[in-house]
This record gives sequence, structure tokens and C-alpha cells, in this order.
Amino acid sequence: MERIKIGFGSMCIVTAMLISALAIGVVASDSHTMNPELTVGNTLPTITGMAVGSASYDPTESGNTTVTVYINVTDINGVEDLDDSKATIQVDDAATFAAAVGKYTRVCTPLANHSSTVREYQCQTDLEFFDAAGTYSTNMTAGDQVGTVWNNTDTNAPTFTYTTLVASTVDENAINFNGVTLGAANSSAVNNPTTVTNTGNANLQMNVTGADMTGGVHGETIGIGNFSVSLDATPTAEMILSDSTQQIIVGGVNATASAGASSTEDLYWYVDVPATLQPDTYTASWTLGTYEL
Amino acid sequence: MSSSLASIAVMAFCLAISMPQALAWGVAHENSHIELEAGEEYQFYTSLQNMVGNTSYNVQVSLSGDTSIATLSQNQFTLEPQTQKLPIYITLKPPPENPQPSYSTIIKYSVSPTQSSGQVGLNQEKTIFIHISVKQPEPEPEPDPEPEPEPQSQDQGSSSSYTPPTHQEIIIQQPNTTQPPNPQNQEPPTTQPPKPQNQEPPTTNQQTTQQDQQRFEDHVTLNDINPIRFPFEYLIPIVIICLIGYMLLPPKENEHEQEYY
Repeated sequence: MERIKIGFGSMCIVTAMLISALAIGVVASDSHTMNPELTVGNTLPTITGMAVGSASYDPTESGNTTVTVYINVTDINGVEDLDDSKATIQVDDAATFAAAVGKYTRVCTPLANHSSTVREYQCQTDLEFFDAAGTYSTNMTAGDQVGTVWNNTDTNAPTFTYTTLVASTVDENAINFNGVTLGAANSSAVNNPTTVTNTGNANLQMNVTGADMTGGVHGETIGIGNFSVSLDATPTAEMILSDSTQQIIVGGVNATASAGASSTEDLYWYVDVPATLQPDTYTASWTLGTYEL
Repeated sequence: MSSSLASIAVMAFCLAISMPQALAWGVAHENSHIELEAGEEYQFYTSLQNMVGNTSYNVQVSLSGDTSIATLSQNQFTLEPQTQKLPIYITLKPPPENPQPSYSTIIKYSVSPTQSSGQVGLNQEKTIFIHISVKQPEPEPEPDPEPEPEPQSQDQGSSSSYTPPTHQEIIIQQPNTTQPPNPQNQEPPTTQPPKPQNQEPPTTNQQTTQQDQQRFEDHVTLNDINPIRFPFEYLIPIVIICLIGYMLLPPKENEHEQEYY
């Protein structure tokens, strides 16, 4: 019985000491200073402003037209954090910006820093003379050392109009017949063919308005019905000319020069020389017209 | 007969000493399908170009088709070589009363070779067709005693009544002074009114910041929580019980005695 009393007292002492130690420890733990930590990574920039240089651009005959777009990029980490090589522009008339379509991708150049966090870029890309007329959408990207952002989800990105250009070159402004034999049929002009090259972005068709040739000395005429045009060096089919405007259609085929990098149409001129004709110099003025399909 | 041939041969000789001259020029124009209201005046834009040719041209512009609604302020122009743009505007104006549903006007640009060196001098024309549709005036809305069930939603769907959100902020800087010199093609960006819609929706980095903020709050909250809290209310009674028990114990000497005993 006495041994039990001794054991209980010792146990109580030990228990009290243990509990006290625990209590002291818990109290000390409760007052311990914890240092919260938060790591904020580099923040991606945002495209905060976009504007096109002009609402409308004209194709340049047989050349390129530079389209300019200005963008403002904001980076809260400072403009020094921006990676200028990631600022690009893309234009596309189909607004799909697919890799095969959005070929006009160019790197933008920094223009000015408007604050410690805002940099303005000037983005320029060239449209070629044969690019289709219509409304073009723009797509810009910007980035910093962390990544790239883009605006292609923004359906309100600026657009511009690329106008239609009806343009062509004719390699010679005259048609000359010589060495012909009186009464000969389908005598070819010496400077055949007359080559029409499309230098715009419209699909072109052609028409011709003829006139009689008149001798300068005697005033004798060669009727316009003696002249013809063909699309072939061998006049298997020809269109007889008249003094009214006719669309050039030879053997059911329209004379056309579609828009393209190098689109041409050759016109071959022929004359049925009358059997009797006064010696003279015969001249005339014809009109070759081009118009959109 | 032979003299005729000789005459043409002389012409061929003349050709041999004269260089053929190419014609190269173009006309740019905007979309040629236009919708106008009766009496509405509109200036149709075209521009002449001579970027390829190295000679100047006298260009004559003429109208045909429905010419009653079209007016040319000038019909003769000189197109110089390397001309960037020679703007030519055609004013279109359907009559205010009893207009036709549509009009078709043809603009013809003609040039004549300045140095024709052949028997047949080739003039050149370029033709543009303009199609004008005239909007029919909408009938006066009759008073409707029973309004449509959802007029507000219809109004909201109208683009003309749409008001962009005002809480968004956009930064469009003033046009810089280092813009390209061509003022025709390089208007300052401020000519384009800033579009609030151009503002990016919250991007990935913004979402990341929000997530970080949430993590921060969680972290801070953890500091305020004691997941293991000692029951202090039991400490004092236990200590008191133990002290009482200790006081009830006999002295140590007795313990030794008892052990020895």
C-alpha cells in the first residue's frame, strides 16, 4: 500500500512536470513569429492599345504598299523587361491567321517609351500589288523574357481597307503592219503580240474599239472589218474588229489577265489586205480597254 | 500595188528608229458597290497611279451610264511619272425624291499615246463600274398599343445603341513625331478612336496573379491557426491534484526506513 502511494506521488510529479513542460512549449510555439512568403513571378505584358496608320491603303501598281500599325505594350515589370523581338504584326484578309495564310508577319520596332511601363511599337508590313482587295484584319504579338501574348482573340483589333487597283501595262502603244501583200489574208502585225500585263489586284478583261485606217495622201480607207485579233500566234480563230467597243472573246475564250504576281495576256493582230489599194500611209487610232470582271 | 508596199516599207524603216513605248498606269478605287439614301451625297474615291511608266499621260475621265447622279469636278488630268497618288473623287447623289432603286455609273479613264509611232496608235482605257443601291425610306412606325414583349433586349442587340463599358481603361499614346513622312498613308494613330474593346481580357499573367493572391491569403491564414491547441483548462486542476498528492506523501526517510524495514 505504501509502495503504491510512493508510485502515485512520483507519477504525479513527473506528470505535472511533463504537462508544465508541454504547456510552456505550446505557449512558446503560439507566440513564435512565422514569416509568410509569397513569390510573385515575372508578369507578362499586355497589349493595351492598337491603331492602324490609315483606314485605307491603295495597292501600288506593280509594287508593294506598306501598312503601318501602332501598338502600345504595357509591362508592369518595366519596359526594360520587354523582348522587342516578340513584337510582331500579321495582316490577313480572311482573318484566320493560319500559318499558310498569314504570311505577312513582320517584327515591330520600338518607337518610344511613353512611361516606365508602356512602350509604343511601330509595326509595318508590305502588301503586294496582287493581294486581294477588301478588309484586312490585324494580329499583333508582344512579349517579355517570360512569354508572349497576342491579341488574336480580340475581335475588335483594328482593320483597314485595301482598295481595288485596275492597272496594267501594254508593252507597245502601236500596231504596225508592213511587208504585206495586196490581197493576202491574215497578215500578221510585225510587232505581234501586244502583251497586256496585270499590275493591279483586279481580274481584268479586255475590250477593243477599232476604226478604219485612212491613207494620209489619198484618203482611201481600209475598213475595220479587215482587221482581227486573236489570242494565238496561229490565227485559227479570230475576232473581227469593229468601230464599236467589243469585249475580246476569241473562239469562246475571254481575253483575261487575272490578278497575280505575273499575269499576262498576248493579243495578236491580223489584217486581210484589200486586193486593190492606193499607195499611201494608212493610220488609225484604236482603243484597248481593261476593266474588272 | 508595188508603190503601196513601198509606202509601208518606209513606215517600217521609221519604226526601226523609234523605240516602242509602253503604256503603264492604273486606277485604284474603293468598293464599287455603294448603298446610299435618297438625297445623300457621297464622294467615290479613285486614284490614278503611274508607278511603272516613265512618261506622263494626259488622262481624260468621262462618265456614262446613269450620269444624272454623278458629277466630276474635273475631267482632264495629267498623270506624271512616279506619281504616288492622283486622287479623283466622283460625287454621287441620288435625287431626294423618287429615286430609282439602283443606279449604274461607268467611269472611264482614257489616255492617248503622246508619241504614237505606228500605223495604229493604241489608246488605252480603264473602266470602273459603280453600282449604287438606294435605301428605301423606312415607313413611319405606327403606334403600337401593345409593345413587343422584349423591346429592351432588341435595343440591346442593336449595334448603334451599344455603349462600350466605361470602366475599362485604354492607353493610346499620342502620335509620335517620328512617323513616316507620307501623310497620306500614315495618319497618326489618334485618327483612329481608341476602342475600349481593344482592351485585352484578363490574361494568363493576371490569372496567375490572382492565384498567387489566393495562395498568399491561405498562407497568412495558416499563421493565425493553431491546429494543435493544448487544453490549458485542465492544467491547473491536475497540478493542484498532484501537489495535494505530494503533500500527502510521508518524508523520504520513512521511505528508506520502510524499505529497510
